[in-house]
Amino acid sequence: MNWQYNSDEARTRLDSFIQESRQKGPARGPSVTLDETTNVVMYTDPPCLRMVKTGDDVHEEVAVTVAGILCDKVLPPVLSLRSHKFEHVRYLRQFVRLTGLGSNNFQEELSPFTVIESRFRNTVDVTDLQGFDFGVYEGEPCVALHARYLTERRLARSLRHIPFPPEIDPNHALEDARDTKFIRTEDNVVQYARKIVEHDGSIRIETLRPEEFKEGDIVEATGTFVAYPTSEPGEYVLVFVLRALTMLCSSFREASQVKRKARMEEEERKGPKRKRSKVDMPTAKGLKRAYISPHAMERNDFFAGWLKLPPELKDHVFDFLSLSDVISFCQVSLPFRAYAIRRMRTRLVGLTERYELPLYTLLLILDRTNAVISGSLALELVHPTGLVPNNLDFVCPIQEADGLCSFLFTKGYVPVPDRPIFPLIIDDVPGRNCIEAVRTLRHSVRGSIIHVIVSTSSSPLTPIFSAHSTFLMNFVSASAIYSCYPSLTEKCIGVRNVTDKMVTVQPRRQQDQEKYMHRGFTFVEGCQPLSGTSPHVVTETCLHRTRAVIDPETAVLPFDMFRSSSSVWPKTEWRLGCKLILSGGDVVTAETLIEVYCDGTDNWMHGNNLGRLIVSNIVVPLVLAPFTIHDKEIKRTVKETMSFSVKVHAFAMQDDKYKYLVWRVVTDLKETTIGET
Amino acid sequence: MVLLLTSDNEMFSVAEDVIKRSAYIKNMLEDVGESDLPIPLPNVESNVLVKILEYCEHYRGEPLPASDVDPAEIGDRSLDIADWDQKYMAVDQEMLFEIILAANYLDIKSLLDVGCKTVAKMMKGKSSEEIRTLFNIANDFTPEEEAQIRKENAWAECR
Repeated sequence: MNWQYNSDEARTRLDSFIQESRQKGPARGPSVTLDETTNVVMYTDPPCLRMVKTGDDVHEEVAVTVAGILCDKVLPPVLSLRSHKFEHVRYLRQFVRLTGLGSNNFQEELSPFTVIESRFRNTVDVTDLQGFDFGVYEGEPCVALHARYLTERRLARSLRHIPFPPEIDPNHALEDARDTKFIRTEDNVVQYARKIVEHDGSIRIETLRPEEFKEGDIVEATGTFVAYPTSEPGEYVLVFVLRALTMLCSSFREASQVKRKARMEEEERKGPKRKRSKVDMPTAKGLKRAYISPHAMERNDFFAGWLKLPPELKDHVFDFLSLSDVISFCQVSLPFRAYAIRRMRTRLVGLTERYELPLYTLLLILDRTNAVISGSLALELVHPTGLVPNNLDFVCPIQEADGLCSFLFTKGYVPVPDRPIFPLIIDDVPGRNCIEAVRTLRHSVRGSIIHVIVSTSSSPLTPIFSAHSTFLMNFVSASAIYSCYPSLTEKCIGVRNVTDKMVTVQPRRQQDQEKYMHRGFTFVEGCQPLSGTSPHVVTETCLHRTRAVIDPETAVLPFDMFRSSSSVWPKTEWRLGCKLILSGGDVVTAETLIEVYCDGTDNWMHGNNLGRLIVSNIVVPLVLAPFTIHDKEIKRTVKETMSFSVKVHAFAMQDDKYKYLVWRVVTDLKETTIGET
Repeated sequence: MVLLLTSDNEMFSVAEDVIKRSAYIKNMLEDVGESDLPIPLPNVESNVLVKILEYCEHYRGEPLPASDVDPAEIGDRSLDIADWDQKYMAVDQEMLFEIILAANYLDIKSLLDVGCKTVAKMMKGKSSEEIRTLFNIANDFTPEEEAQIRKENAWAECR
């Protein structure tokens, strides 16, 4: 309750509610429990003592209603849980505390609770009883009610689970947490309603969402009395269990909010507050306020709207998000991470459905053969457009090709006779695309096509980094989804791998590129040739950097909730094909470089099969022009200088001209902060 | 003309070819046939129905989506939204979510997609901290876990 809350009027209104209910309605207060028919009876399933009215073979649980002003609450929805541990889940509960703000009528309502407590205490089986502990609010007595969200299944074996409605568990956090050990029983159900008095005096009850109850509202809480056994024999804890919460009047709380808002707006109109002197050191408190306030309105409206959406619509919204957004979700909280990973698995299932390979089978075969999925399907996972790929592209190590095909034969696939194994050379240079062969298989019933792209080496990644553009440098392994150029890919931009410009006719690559252009993707040429005499600005389209699968620029989403995204691949590095101006002015094209280190040392084992011809080792020192980047997370401007040392390992000569050049870039990054905003 | 009765008891008289963009109404009209009785829409308020009808009116005459579309089909997943649709969706967030719920109830798939894309765009490009603020949730990662996640997703920092 804020300082604009009119406590006096609220107390008066509460008094009138209590008086009216005493005069007009049936007796519902705690005093009704004190007649001769009321007894404390032991129950099982779950084991507890309950206060019931005993009649002709019928036990009716005594429910009492207390009117008061809501002064403290923990109510649904439950959006996420910080722990799924048994002990944490067992005690998850909702809770309300009501006060009378000094109302005598309210205090009178509470007096019978002492008698109720003594009834339980005097029960035969009870040797020790922890009674009510309702606490106080601003020095005034209160009544507190709680209800656990879940009951241990072992204590209620004969009962069925009652699913949580979306207004209580919109993100399925409780459903996930309960696992098989807990269920939701009638004891865990709380009803929320608003009581409306019509013009003719009749009373109408309508349901209300639990989040609409706020501190300061006048409410009626209905509860029952249950004593639960503790681990000590004969020891019980007495609880006033919340069964229903009814809104009687929210006008005092609303009026206080309006007054407070009006006052704040008035203060804002009066002009800005005195500027803080530059010599004042900012406090952490001030920093937090400044951060939260710009988003406050957006958060509340968005969040309230989001809660209204049924789960299938939330899924629908999520399916529009790209891999980088999904990864941002994973960083939010554990339940978000679980949800995001589940949705990505569902997205993968949707895309592979026509191939008759269930997700488990698919991931298993990727794991067993060290293969990956690439091509349009991987691109669609990273950047959804709604396209259903015509075929599924597996890329596998050379030694696993037969095993992978044999497995697919067992799943109903047959070789396509009229589409034999591709020519080993797609381009006009043997081995340059790192593809040994492409085997085409068709499902005998559904007709769906799978291409098994066989790498020339034991790494399935080398054909991917030899592809014509960065669009294709996404892949799915048994454990994760990878996007090597996530920012560019999600902007529908693909940097051309310069390699393909080295030959005049490449119909297959041309055809591939046109396919992507039809889908709205754009190809760009990357950066200018690197020269020792002019500055080179490094941007995200720079071709000259040596990249690695595990470097920070690769976006990785593991399928496993608790698995790190660290790559399981052997150290794999690549640099796109690019151009270099040598000191004599010759422009040479550097072939795409891929190096895979398999033995845990710095000696590369395989990669491009270029036939390295060692001619010389030269170093071309380059100093780049300073450039700035804006880091949105830490809000600072960074000045970076980078110098390249280009080490030419080897190059081959053809017709007296440099044709293929293989080199690595060693970068030396220096970072200087020149200002913060 | 078709009579529609909203949840707040307002009656709307709408041309049949306009409201047939709603598969729900279309099917109901085909099942029930001509009737003078209004179709109750207990989940749609009058101010939301006004917006829905504005959409249906704009696309009056455009071909209706095929009724035999396989619900398992993936459908459009790009975040491209036509210019008119963007202007149409320039409403406060409460109304935006009401439109989505109404489009879902009335089974107007194209409008539902536009609404969901608009919400997805609000979530797109946000950092994890911004998403926490948007969804009003607490960070339950330990500092060590968070540091590890940040390290693994360093690429996203300069998006």
